Amino acid sequence: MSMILNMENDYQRFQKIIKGKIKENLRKYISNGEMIGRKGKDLVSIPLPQVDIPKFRFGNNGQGGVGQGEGEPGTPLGPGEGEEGAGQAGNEPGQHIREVELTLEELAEILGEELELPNIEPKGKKEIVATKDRYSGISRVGPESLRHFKRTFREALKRQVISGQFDIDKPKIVPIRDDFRYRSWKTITHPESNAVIIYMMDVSGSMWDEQKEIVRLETFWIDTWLRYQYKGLVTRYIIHDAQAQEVDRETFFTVRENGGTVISSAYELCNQIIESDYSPEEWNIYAFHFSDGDNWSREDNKHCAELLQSEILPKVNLFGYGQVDSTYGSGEFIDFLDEHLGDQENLILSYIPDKDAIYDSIKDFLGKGK
Amino acid sequence: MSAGKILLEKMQQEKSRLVEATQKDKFKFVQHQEDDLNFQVKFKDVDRYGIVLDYIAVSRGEPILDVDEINRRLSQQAEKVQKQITYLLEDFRLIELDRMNKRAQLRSYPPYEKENSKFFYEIVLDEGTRIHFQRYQYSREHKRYEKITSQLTLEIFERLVDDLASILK
Repeated sequence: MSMILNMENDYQRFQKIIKGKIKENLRKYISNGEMIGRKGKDLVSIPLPQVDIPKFRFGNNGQGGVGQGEGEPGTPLGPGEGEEGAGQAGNEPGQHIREVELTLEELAEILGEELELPNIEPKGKKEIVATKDRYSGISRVGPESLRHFKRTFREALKRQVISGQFDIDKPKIVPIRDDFRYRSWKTITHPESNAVIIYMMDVSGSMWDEQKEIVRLETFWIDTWLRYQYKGLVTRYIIHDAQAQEVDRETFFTVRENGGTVISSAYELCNQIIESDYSPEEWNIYAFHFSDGDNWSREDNKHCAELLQSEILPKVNLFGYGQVDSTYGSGEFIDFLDEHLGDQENLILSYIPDKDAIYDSIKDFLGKGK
Repeated sequence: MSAGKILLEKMQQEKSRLVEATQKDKFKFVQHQEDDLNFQVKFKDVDRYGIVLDYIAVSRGEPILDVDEINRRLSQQAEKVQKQITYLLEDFRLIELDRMNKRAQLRSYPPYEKENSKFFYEIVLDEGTRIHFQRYQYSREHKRYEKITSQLTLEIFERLVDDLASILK
């Protein structure tokens, strides 16, 4: 028992060390996508070159001792001294960086602690009721696949003991039909705050791979944090150049168009999606838009500001606009929004000139606890 | 005489007309009509060696009505710009081909970076009948694009005007 406790203590200590290391290097992990190799749906693996796990190594100390087998008296035991000279290059892979697996929840905890992110207070008058089936009951009837062996055995034992059929010297339990017990389920309802994130990205000709990588990293961390805060999180993806369309996650990050930029097309589609699928009364709605800010015209900038003010902002918990730098610089859209809607509480503007700025940008977006 | 040469003569004349000190540093504007092409040049100065240019705009009289034809031409014109205009130290690359708004945007790549700024040429093709040449500066400090002048030799200017015209034809 005490051994198990010791192992548990060691494991907890190891986890603490890892968390500390990740926290120390969080800025680097956030800005470097390769560092986070996503592993399945719920786990991430993080390479930690700094952590050395103690291990036993065999040395060359065993010079003496008793040997057996072939050999003459006086033959040295153990490996002989290596000969000098040029050896051949090895063909085995070198030592790999140690990867540590963390759940997304643990990662979100670290992110929250390090960036001092406040927990989100879900809005909405009504909470969504989620239902779940739990096998918590026992019944006398049911399918054979759900037969509860232990309970059936117990019932048979009870019956045999009461009826005097049980022989302690020759214990043999034979259940009859009446002893059979089956697992049965109950439908449990519990309230759950649901949330939807609508990601929008400008994929016009001026948004190159470098800009999309910034968006990919930023959305990974936003996703991680919001999934930690909400049980049921739905994500929708919109891409736009001069026209907007809804796409799946993979297309969102890989597609490249060379069209112009009409930002309002994305805002219109975003508003349509909210209106048709997510009532603001019942859902916590988040919308994030990423662009290089080079919009087609000032008229469209105005149209975007109108759409945001009258349609989108009243419905969402948070609207985040992140402006990245294209190869040629950054457009005026962020300044336009700041000038016209800068006083809106649930609109957050963040300028992300390069990967190093992602850390602060996440803090901008999620630091208000909306 | 080529359109480029005619425009240079007109620019010299315009410069001599505006000799007063107050108007010396102002932008000047000349235009020229040749067949169905209209040339417009805004410039700051011109001398025996070169020109300080703001922009060149060339347009064709008749609009193209068929949308598919416009987009086909835009692609062809963008291709020509990339192949022909290779003498400005920075080559052009198609950035956006906006079929909806019938517009193509080409910029020189990579942009020239100096101190805290990026510099690049931009050519915008509109509806297959208009072409516009301008140089820009993006300042990281002010996070803003600004139109700036280009310094071109007379020879390069002439060649550029003639190439822009031939791309539209």
